[in-house]
Amino acid sequence: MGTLDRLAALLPAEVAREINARCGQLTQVGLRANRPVQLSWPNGEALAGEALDAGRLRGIVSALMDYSFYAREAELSQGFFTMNDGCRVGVCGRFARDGDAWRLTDVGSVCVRVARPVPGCADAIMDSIDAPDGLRSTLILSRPGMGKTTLLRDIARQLSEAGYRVGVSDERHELAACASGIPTLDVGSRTDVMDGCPRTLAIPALIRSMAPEVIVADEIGGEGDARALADAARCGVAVVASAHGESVETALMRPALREAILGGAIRQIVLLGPRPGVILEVRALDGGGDARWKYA
Amino acid sequence: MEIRVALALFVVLCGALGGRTLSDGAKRRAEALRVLSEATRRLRVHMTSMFEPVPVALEHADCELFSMVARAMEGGFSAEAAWERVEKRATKRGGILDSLTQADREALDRMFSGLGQSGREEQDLLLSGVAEALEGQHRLARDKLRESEKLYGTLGLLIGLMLALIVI
Repeated sequence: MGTLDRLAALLPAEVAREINARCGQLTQVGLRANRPVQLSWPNGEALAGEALDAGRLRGIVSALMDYSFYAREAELSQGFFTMNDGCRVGVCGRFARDGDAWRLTDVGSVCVRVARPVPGCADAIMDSIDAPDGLRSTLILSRPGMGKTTLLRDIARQLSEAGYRVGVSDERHELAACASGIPTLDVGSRTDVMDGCPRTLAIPALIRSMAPEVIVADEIGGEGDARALADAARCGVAVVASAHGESVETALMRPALREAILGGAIRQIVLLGPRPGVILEVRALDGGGDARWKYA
Repeated sequence: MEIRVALALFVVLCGALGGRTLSDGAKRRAEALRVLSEATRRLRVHMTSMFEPVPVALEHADCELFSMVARAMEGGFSAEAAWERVEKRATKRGGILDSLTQADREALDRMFSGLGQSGREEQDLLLSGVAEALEGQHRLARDKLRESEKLYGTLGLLIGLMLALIVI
């Protein structure tokens, strides 16, 4: 059962009807204690049903986790957990310090981000990644919710089907939505996935053991990510990664991205926005030409 | 005369077997506790080392009762709610838990009411505590079984001998 179906089964009937009516379009479902449910889709949003009881919200979160809090502890300390079909469930509420870790003690609100593969969404930029002079390491930039992960997944799939050995570092389980280490979303026939492992460990491990020609990684920007990308570039492995950033200029303000971009590990940047799935710009960084604009 | 001797021997044998049958309930209890304590240890590994979700870990613990609880969790029920449904069926006459005492079931109640509801460390403590409790109950049950087998076996034999003497 997909996440939206499970959610609909746990919510009041009138909200479930709204979810089922829009299930093909929904991008996000927001649940907040003592507030109506918020449904979001690419061109709009709406509140549905009566205020959601705090106890019911807790019950919904428990049920989505299969009543297995311990299995999600590490993810919850970062404010989210990922469902088996790749949907990310962001959790807000009260956190308390437990030694070096932060533990979620009370849930105030939840945001279910719907993962939906869109085969072919990367068609417009594949020629710039799989270029005549070889694979170009690419950074996909956008603010949250613009479809970076969906684009990255299709890029991995298309490169894999084009004959490249692809290694995916899927720290947050969203790219491949692995179940017991096996991808449930299509990331290609020649793709190996390191699921749940920090990027700084996964990228070197993939290079050492799986001989990838390209590494795909989601949401880089943390400490060590730039080094991992630079190492990959030095080993002759191309990288296609995503990061949060509204523009190239704002991305350069983040130390790890600055290091990756200016250090030569990245050869081009793809900017998404202002709506989900829209490719705004593809900018080459290797001085090979002027910035190219593509607005779909 | 030979027929009487044969009949007497038959009566003695029936007496001895009858005595052993009376200790059957204790035997089933000891066996059930052994299976449950081993399954709880396996459950602990699947949950706290392999981080499998509760329903998956229950299935992998290789225990009929735990599989019943896993199936009862389908449809979005917590382990506690699923256990309440399963317990009613399992404690009926002939059910898996038919031979268990109230103290034995308390350990299972404690486990299922907290299963999955807290972090890894707390779950590890819960499951190791329950496994130890069940193992302790199993040791007591096994000792009691040995005593009751001896007692009822001997009683049955004596009654059989008495009846055999009457026959002869």
